[in-house]
Amino acid sequence: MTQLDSVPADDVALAASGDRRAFERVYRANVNRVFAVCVRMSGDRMRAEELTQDVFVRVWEKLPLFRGESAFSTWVHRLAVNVILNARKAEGRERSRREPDGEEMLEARGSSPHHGDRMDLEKAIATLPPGARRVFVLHDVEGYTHEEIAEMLGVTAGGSKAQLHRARMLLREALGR
Amino acid sequence: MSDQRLMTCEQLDERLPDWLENDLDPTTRALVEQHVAVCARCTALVSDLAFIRRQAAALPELVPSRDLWPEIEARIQAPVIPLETQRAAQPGAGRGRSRHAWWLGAAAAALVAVTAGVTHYMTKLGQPAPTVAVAPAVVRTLDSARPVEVTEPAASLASTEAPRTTPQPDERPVASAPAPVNEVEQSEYARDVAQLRAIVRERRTELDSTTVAVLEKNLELIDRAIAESRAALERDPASDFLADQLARAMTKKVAILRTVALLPARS
Amino acid sequence: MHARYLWAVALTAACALSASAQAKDRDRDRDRDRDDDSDYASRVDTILPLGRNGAVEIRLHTGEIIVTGWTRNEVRVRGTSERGVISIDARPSRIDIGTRPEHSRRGEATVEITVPEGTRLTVAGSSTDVSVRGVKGEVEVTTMNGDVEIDNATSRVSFESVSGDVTISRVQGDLRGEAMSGEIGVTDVAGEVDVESVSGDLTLHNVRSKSVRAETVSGTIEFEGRTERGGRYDFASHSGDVRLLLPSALGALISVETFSGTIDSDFPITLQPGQRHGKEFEFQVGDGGARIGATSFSGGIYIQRSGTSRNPE
Repeated sequence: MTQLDSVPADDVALAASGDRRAFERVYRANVNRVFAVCVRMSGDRMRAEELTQDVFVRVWEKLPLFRGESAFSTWVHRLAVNVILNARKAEGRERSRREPDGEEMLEARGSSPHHGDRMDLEKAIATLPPGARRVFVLHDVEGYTHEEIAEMLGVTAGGSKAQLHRARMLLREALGR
Repeated sequence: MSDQRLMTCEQLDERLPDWLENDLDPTTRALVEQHVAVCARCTALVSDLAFIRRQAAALPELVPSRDLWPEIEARIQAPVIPLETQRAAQPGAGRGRSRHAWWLGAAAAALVAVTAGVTHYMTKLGQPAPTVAVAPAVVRTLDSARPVEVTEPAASLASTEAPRTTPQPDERPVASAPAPVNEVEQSEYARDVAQLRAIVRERRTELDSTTVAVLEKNLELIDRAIAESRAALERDPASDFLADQLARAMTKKVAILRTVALLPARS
Repeated sequence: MHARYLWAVALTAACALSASAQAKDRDRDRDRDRDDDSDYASRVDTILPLGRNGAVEIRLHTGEIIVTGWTRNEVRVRGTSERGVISIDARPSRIDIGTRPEHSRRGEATVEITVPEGTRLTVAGSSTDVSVRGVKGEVEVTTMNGDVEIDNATSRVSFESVSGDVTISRVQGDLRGEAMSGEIGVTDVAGEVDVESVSGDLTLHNVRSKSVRAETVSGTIEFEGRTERGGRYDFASHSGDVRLLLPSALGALISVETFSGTIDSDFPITLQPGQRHGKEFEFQVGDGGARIGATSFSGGIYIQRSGTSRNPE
């Protein structure tokens, strides 16, 4: 949050009108936070770098439509989440053709190796099953409400709450507390 | 507060998600909090979850392992390669093709001549030449504010306007009354209508049925307007207003037929 | 007591976090971004440069065309096609977008494009809905069955439609167009207006032009707006009603004529020497500065003070 709102409004306006140098400054001011949400949502740093690039290409394209109804950082953030979630849907279709149940597989892989070990929260988040991880990151890390998460993920608010609790309990276990 | 009303740990586990979300009614919340206050296991649990939550909210921004900007910059440099299917990437897609060809179909060539004829006809009538736009062209009707210079001839022109089902391209109008507008010009109008009708008849099967129905209905409306105007004008040959009404409807008919001839084929 | 202490810490932490989450919620954006990713045979997503005052032409057989103006010197094209290929032909000052004819006959295509403000735009479709907003350049739209919506065009606008309805608002430049059975609705226009239909109704509201011509065969005509000194306003229907809502402080020479319809006027009709046969009247209101003509062969002609309806002057 700290660095984000320091993007000069001028740069946003210049970038909106097509100034790529100004957009680079906008990028530099926002990249770390966007990258962070990409890492945590995807659980994969390499993938997160690709996603971060996708996000900024999308920001560039959408910038002329930014109306200033919210803080610029908030707008970028929401755009990032959408890009990540859409990429997931596309990948999900791809994966489901090859593997019957990606979610369960990842869950099995995620929960066993570090069982009982102490690890930092960052690593622990990466071990969460994807559904629980997304809700946890959106709610506890990024501060979205269950209603917003429900809308973004296409689940119910109750489902979001349940996933969140599941994620926290799994994290507690992974953190060995 | 009596002890028998305290929750069990299992009950607390059930309520915990809602408690953490501040979603419990005051009574239940008090019960949860009472239990947490006296149960070491649950105190630890709540404490841990709060710790996780606090940690999560305080997670730092992360720095990518490399500078991602050059690739982003390359991607936002126009033009971006379109994400099309392979077929879309076929050489020549959308190139070297007349922009209007698919739209016009076979009737295009004939229409050029027809348009020229209508323009000529309108000019001869002493009206401003209609504006002819790029395809699909629009034939402008008469400027209603200007008096029509045809009264008698309008009636005779109208006699070529009886609804017909099988027009002949070279059909001549019946020349009756003395005509300030000569026979050639009358026949030009008749020829235009006949040519357009022929094109429309040929194209009928190419057009979708809904469109054909709309066209039929509207042509019928125009023919009715022409017939009504003509009948009224016969009773009152001196009326500029009626002559104007007739000329307007006739011009509209040509415009409609042209529109039909220009319509794209059915999907 | 140790347990009680921990609980207090936990509770405080939870409350603080909840408060910060709420602060974030308040800040939450309303600039929603929605990306649908349905399955389509062909998909285009590209950005192309386009010089100032460039031209863009879009042709789709069936589907939807949405055009929006923006401040960049670039054209953004996003399109999907159920069948067939969306082709783009780009030159520095002109971009052509369309479905290729041999593939375009089945399946819908949707093209959403954003163009530099001031772009000259040509849109053509068959069963294609067209929406053009904020382009602020010359706009020409032709469609057969689809509806047409044009908003916020500062330059010339022209359109042609067979059965689709046409809705146009906020035009600074001249407006010309034809529909056959579709309705034409025009709101808020300052340039010259010239519209025609066969059976579709013509509705013109908040017109501030110095020249208006509206003509239909069986449709009705409704005009509401200001007239200007020296301006010309002509309305003609064959069998539909003509209704004019004019300001009370009107200055116009009005001529109305009908063959078999009725004439009704809120303004006093004073006969002029020019009056001839049938139901033809010519009368002056105020200084007579504008010329208004309304005719209908068999429909009624109604001339009302706009103060008597709820329409603003």
